Amino acid sequence: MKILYSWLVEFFEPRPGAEAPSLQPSPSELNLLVDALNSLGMVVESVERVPAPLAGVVVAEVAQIDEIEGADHIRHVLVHSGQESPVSVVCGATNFAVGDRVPFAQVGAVLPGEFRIERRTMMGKVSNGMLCSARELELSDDGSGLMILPADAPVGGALAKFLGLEEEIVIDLAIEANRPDANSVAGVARDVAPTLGFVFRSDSGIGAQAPAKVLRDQLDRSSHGERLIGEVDLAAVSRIVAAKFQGPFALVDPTTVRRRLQLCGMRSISPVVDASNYVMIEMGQPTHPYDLRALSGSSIGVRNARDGERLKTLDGEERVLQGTHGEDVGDIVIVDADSTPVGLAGVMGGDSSVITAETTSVLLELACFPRSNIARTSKRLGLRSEASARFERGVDPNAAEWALRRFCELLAQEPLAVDSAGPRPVPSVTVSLRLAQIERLLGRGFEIDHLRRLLEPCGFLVGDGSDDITEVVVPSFRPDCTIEADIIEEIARHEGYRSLGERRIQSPYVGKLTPYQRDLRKIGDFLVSRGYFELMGSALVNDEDSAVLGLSGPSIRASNPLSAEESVLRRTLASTALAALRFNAARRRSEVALFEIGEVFSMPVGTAMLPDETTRLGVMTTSPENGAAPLVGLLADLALVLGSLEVEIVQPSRDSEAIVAATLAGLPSPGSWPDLHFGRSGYVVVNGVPCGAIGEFKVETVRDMTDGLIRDRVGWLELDLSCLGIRDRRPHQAQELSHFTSTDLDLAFELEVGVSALQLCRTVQRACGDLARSVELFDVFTSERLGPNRRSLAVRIRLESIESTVSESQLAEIIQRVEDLVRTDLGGVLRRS
Amino acid sequence: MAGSDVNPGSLREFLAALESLRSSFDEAPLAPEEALRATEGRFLAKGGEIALLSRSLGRLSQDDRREAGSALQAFRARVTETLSTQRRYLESLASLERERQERYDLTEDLVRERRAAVGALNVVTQTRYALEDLFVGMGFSIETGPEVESEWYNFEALNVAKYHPARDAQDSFFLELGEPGSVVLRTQTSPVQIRLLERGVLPIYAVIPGKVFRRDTPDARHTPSFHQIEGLVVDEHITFQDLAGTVSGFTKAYFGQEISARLRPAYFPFTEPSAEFEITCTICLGSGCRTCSGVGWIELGGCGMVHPNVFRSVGVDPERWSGFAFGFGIERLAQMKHGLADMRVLLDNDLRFLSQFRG
Repeated sequence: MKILYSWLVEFFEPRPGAEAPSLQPSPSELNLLVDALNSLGMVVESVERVPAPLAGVVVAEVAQIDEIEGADHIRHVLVHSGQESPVSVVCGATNFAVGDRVPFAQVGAVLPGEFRIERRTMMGKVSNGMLCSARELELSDDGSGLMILPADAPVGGALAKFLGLEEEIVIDLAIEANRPDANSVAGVARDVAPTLGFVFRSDSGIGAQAPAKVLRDQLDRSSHGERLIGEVDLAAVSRIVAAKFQGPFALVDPTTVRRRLQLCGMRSISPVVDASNYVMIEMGQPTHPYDLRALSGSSIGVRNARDGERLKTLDGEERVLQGTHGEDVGDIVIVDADSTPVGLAGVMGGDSSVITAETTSVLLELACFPRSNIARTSKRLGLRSEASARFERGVDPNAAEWALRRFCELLAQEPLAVDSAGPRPVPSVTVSLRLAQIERLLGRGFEIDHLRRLLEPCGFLVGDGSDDITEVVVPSFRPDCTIEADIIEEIARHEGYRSLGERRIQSPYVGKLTPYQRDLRKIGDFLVSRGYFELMGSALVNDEDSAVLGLSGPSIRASNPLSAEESVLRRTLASTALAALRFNAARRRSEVALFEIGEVFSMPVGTAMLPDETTRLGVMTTSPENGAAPLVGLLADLALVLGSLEVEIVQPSRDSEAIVAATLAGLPSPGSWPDLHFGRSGYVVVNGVPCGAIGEFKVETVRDMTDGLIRDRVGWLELDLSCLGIRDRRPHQAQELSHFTSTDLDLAFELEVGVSALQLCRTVQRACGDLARSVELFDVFTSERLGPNRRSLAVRIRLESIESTVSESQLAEIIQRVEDLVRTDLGGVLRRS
Repeated sequence: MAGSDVNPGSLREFLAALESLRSSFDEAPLAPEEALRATEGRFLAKGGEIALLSRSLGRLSQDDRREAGSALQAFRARVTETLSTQRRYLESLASLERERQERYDLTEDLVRERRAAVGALNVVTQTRYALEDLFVGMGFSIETGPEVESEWYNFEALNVAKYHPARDAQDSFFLELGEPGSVVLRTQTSPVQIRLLERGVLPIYAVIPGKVFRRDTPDARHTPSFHQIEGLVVDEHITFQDLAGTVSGFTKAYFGQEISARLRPAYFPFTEPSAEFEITCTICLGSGCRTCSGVGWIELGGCGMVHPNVFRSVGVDPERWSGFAFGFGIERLAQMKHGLADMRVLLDNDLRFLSQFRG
């Protein structure tokens, strides 16, 4: 919210014997104010010094007026403008005479609307500037002739200075949602005055001298003269005041009101509307003026809207309204005596009763509407006004009279009639405050007198508090304060958060990562050491990816996505990784090694409300010929780094598609794993539990997901990390080392293609028993001689015994056992050279 | 050859022969290696000159023999020493020559085209780990929770009223699950506070890092998903002073002694009193610059004393327990620490960006 320094200080009164607030603050005085506002939580977003307007426009006295031969509409005028000799000007207006004082825009002046004044010659006469109307200076709407100034206006003096238009300081404040009182100049002043050493004055401001003497009497009676308020539903408005005024209407100080409104970001419209807006900014009470002639029955009422009811608001839009249905609150309307809507309460007035130049009598409505209704209406209709913003946060239900008085002052008007409905004053909230609780929350105790000094200048009333507890009466403009903790925050705020002190906490726990958290860090560090970069993906992805990746079943959709690209919860990390691949390929980085640890989601299980959410590891790499191979090696090493993880890969037989489905079905949340290259993929089994997929993306998937930018093969590993929890976390126990030299035994076998290398190694290991320290594959080949369905696998067996070297006879026996077991279990044939 | 045909019978003759041997050694060639080997053979071999001369020692008187023997011994030592020094010298010369031949430009492989052998954690993860480590050092545990939450955990239990603007569909992504508006991508890590309190293990000293979602169109300072880290301390006798001390202690530990923190009033539904915490601008160190809009301070996050309604919503007695919570954006911290001009760079996973954070 924007406020003006000059406006704010009108509400500051010096304490007895102290200095009044400075009207032209020095930078350090301004800093004091900014600090005070910040430390109270009314955060200063910016401070702007706006220079006085109308530079180059001076007061001039008309010295001579001459007709110009042949010209009907212009005359030649000489004016005194403080220079030695009179200045020559050509002027089209006729409403002035010699001796009048008028505004004179000198050459070089820039008038509102970026209108630059230059020397011109018209009909042979030189014009060294322009004599101005009030409209040309944007001081009023009067453009009928020159603005005639009072006779005491100093000739040659700056017009702005004479009119009291000084440089203004505009302070932009960010007001928190819980501080409706601070959405007004007076509210900010009330809160900040004590910090700056001033007393808040409530009856200040311009026009305060204007008479409104009968107002108080009228308001004190429940109704005076004619009725202005008809049927009112007190559930739809907690309090409403209406006042009737008779024109003509003129602001007491139009120059100041217009300039202030303009600097606060509002347009000047008419004296009545300007006064209404001024009161809203100053007091925080929105008001709405109606053209009384347009109100049937010359009165207003308030009720809930009916479903489908229509109202044309003053912006010309036709609005379809909604009623209240139980907790689902709807719109509230202001109606005339016929119950026809004439305004959308708290949001915007109706088009039919809008104030125009012809308006002669006005009904002003000042009300307090329920916050939730206004919030709902303004949100539903996408219609946020200055008024609705204030009602949403809460308007002081007791402010109407104060605001009405102010409205009267600004227009020097006395209402012809005033009427009201609803309780007055609205009962106050009282909160019990335990002094011990203050210390318990803030860490510091406060004496009751201290509390009074902090709270009472801001409108709170602190009771006697003879014991340890005191009653605090909350002012009606602070609807946010309802419990003890709220009052304690007020105490802290006015004492100053920074003066409450600091203390270092002492946790009773020893801080450490959980084993799972350590695993996650290990995985990241390992992959980084292998050249992988970590990517970050959002939970929301494009649903089109689901089809490309071959995911079955429906996705969980966002009901209000920002775009189709991010509209469903991701079921696999693959789409994020492929998007990153495409992004980088488009930037000529097509060799890519990426990983992510992130959440994936699938449909809620059973009666669960929330989706099934699991953390997965996704690893992607590009490779010219075989994308899966580097990832298999990586997975094997990762298992070593994490320890106690036995990793197997189960690969479907190349002839049986049914097995693919069966293996995928064995994984957690089927339908959430991308389809991979049929011949180069399998699923990962960790310590006997299926928990992931590994292999190479289908060439078509990569093509579709990367706009054909990637020619390499793309490997993909995706693991459900809950598998980390299924292992034995007891520390590894060291094994005794042999003192005897080990022996290596190389054996090659002819096998069916469907027999995996892992099966062979396992079988060999089993045949060798404890003597085999390791069994590793070192050669694979196929040949015509072997035929299309057979291949040769060669393994190296390291044999070592703790008791002796391995003897020739042991060796021969082992070879025999291996040969037999591979033949019987795998149908393999040992190749003898 | 000076001494070979001499057969001295007296001490004087012996010493003269030795002297002559000495000068012939001084003239003997010590390089190249073959010559060195020849000289070694000539003087030190079994039938060499020194051995020959030592045979004549027997013909001298006992006293003379002692004198002559020790002179001969000294000479032998000198010859041995000289030859071995020379051998080492020649070897090192040869080795140097071989190494010169095997010259390799070590900078070739410093600049050779290759696939990066070292990757990097995302800068967000790096920042998160650094923060986690700090709090672990202060005796905090690290806790996490689901990214998709029910409306109860994300709003209701946190005292966010039904019509609070924070619940607006403008700001949150809701999911098509259950009743409309009942399941949401969490907008903050705070629902994990509720889950921790529900677990009922008190006291709590925890930090909660994680991904959160806001319905913001991406711009230089906002992305629809980002990360927060949130702290929750619940114990007996926890006060606002503890909150201020923790925020200030963390700030100094993370940013350094020259950066301090301060609190100013703010509003959050789940804390009362609530505060925003600001830190000294890390760019200008408080003197005022463009980054901090000239004020010398930068807003970092929100904090406050846990609202009694939050305690009540999970059945924790606010008369016995008190606590504070604080939270801030991890990306924002990374942005300040690493000078990221535009947050959107974090969404692209651009390798040119990722590879800048290897160290």
